[in-house]
Amino acid sequence: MKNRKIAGAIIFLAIQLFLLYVYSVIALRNVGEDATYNHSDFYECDENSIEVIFVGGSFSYCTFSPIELYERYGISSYNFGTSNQYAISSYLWTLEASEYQDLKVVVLEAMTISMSHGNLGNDIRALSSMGISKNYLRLALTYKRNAYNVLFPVFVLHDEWEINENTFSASACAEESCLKGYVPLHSEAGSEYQDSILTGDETEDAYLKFTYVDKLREFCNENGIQLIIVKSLMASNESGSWSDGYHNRVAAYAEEYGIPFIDFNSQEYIDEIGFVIAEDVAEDLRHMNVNGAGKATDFIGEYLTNMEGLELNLYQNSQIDENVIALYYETISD
Amino acid sequence: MTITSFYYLLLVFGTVVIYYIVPKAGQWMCLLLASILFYFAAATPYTLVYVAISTIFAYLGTLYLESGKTAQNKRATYLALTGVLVNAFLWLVLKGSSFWIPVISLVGRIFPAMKDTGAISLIAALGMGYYTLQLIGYILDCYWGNCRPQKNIGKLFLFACYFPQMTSGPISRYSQLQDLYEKHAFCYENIAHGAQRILWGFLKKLVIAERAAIIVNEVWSDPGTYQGCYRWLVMLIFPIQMYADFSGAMDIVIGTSELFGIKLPENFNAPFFSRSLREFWQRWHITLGSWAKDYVLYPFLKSGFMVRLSKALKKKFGKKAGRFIATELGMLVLWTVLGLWHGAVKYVVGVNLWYWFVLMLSELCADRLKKLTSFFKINVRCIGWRMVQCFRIYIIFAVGSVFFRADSLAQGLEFFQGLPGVFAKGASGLSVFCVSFQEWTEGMGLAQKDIVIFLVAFALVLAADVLHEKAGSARAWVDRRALPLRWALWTALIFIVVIYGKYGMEYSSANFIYQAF
Repeated sequence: MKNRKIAGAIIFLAIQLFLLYVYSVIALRNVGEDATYNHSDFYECDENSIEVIFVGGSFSYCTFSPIELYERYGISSYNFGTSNQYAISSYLWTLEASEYQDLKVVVLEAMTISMSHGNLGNDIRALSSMGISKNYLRLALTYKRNAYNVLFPVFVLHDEWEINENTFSASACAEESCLKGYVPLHSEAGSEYQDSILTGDETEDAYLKFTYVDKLREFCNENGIQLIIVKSLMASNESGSWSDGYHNRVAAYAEEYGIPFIDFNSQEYIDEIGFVIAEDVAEDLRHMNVNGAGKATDFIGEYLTNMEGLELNLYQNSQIDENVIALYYETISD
Repeated sequence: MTITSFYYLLLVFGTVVIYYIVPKAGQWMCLLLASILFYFAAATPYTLVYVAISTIFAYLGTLYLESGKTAQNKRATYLALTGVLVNAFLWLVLKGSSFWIPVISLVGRIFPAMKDTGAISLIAALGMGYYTLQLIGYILDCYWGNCRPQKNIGKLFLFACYFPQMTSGPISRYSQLQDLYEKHAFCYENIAHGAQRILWGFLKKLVIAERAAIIVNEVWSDPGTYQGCYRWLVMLIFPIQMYADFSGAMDIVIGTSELFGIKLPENFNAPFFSRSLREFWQRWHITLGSWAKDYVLYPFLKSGFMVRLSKALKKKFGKKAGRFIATELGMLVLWTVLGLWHGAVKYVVGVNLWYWFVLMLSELCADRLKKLTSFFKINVRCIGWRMVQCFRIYIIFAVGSVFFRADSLAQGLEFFQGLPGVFAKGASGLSVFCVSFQEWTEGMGLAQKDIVIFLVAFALVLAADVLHEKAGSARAWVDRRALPLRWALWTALIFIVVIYGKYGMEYSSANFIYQAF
């Protein structure tokens, strides 16, 4: 009798754990419905059809458009930017992407370097499209004391729980797949913003944590992947998010390890690319709009095409359907 | 570490495993170690010394007391008295600072040399209000010969700092906690029932109390902005928050204890079904009321002074009136002591004297009310009249609760001035009906969905209370259902808590209200 009861209790607990797992998968999927976290369309791409990936926070997903990069330069890419992405998520997305694709270049948006890890909710959201996969579970090793929250993300994401008509639909986010991770912004900063936010100050007083950038760099080195650090254009650093201090520290790091570092806020790049801050930055003064993203993508395409020693299979491995390209331009013109 | 945290559950799980593995004679030591561990994780570690000092004095105070030879021994009397006074003194110094700091500040104005002492900030021990009462009760029980003194100071220390009840009570008698020292074999029912009780507590705290706290805290954080109906709403919701919060804590505490086979006294018994205030206080914070009756009210009424006074009053005002005055005087002392225990003037005057006054008034008017109900031919047994009575008690309790929530007595009084129709100051109260319900609640930080969840969960708790009233125990009712239904019910409860509970890394949950004492 006693053994039967204990067996019953074990079965009951096993059912609860299984249900928690199912709910966690659904909760992750619900988060993934948000365009700023959704990368489920990445898994629909053919194997070895992507050579360049962009990782970072919202500055990444507002700056680089994979479709335009393909259309103009034949470079197949995907943008893994997610809101407030920490460096650990950039690193884990790189690992995940490399399992499916033969990566040649990883473009890291520099703002992410200021955020190593530490907000579990952010990290779980950033990786939500992975589902509970091997690389997602690596996060549990980082959050040792909170590993249970990674294993059962429903505890962190329970506020976002909602069943709706899309929950069990496989094509819930199909309409966004033409963007390949890019999120277009249409507003403009306005005419008041003409100058760079950088002043040429040589201080290096910014707080940056390179733990996961180091891991990313090492991974790229081991796998023959070119790492490039890029900082998107901004019209204001009022929130203190990017300044000379940050620029100088990242530049010093990049120089130390021989990583190309492109800061669109430097006057040389503003002049070279022809950025007009008032027209190329969105009204939040922090993210680039579709005009700016077009120019930034153009520049990166040119840069990669001319990069010494980098051989990309332009237009060869990936064939993006004309309809998708048409849908893309329709979407960004909305 | 709060009792709703993951680490608390981890500590409980680890302790349960070790508890049933170690030799039975060492089980109490396992609980003592877990209690010390909990204390170190949940409180300022050095304050455990205060618990130790209180325990040592309780131990020494009862050392010479033996059952049957109590008050005769003068030395024993002094020791017992010292034990009580040291405990009370420690509590007053560390926990009752709101009473003596203003006095010292006043003295500091007169004697500048003492000026700085008014700004003293002391850290009290965790659960000081609870263990102090337990130890004083223990000393008095030993002194009166109600129980034999504990010769093992480690076991007495465990009685004072038993971890589940450390933060919010209940206030157990020494005789009620003998289970602590008993040997317990693993029992499936204890584990299952304990876990179920903990889950129920989580539902009350995380789903109901935390949602109510959002509205209540929003309004109380800036009462000037919220007038009229906002205040009515908060006044009516706060008792639900208190009930869900405190009884939820009790469910977790009692459930945890059940896992070890230790039965703690109940602290709540469906209080919102009370039809009189007296009944209410027999159903709300039962252990505190019972402690105060046994260790304050009865000894006070039996004291030589009160016996003489009672005789004199009976002689002067007649038997009935004399007894009434003497009893109410005792009740006044009881309610004042209860107010003092809560640790601030607002509790003494705003909360407890209010309840004492209503109790006295209801005692005075009881006969007249009976006559009135029979005059109007009201069927006092019908459900409608019972509901009216319950609602009346709820309102009376809600009024006193305003002072409980207010920062001060003055703020509590000011709160009432903002109620429309009652000394109304602002007119915004009624204008609330011009906006949608959604806008109204969202303005206070709670989405309409949350209001629905709150109401449904509270209805569940009330349903369980009804079952408790009718069938003796809601859990027993569930136990009688078929296995699939039982599992479905517990699974649903687990997922209501997991999905709709307010918790997590990005959510800063409110402390348990009674954790402050």
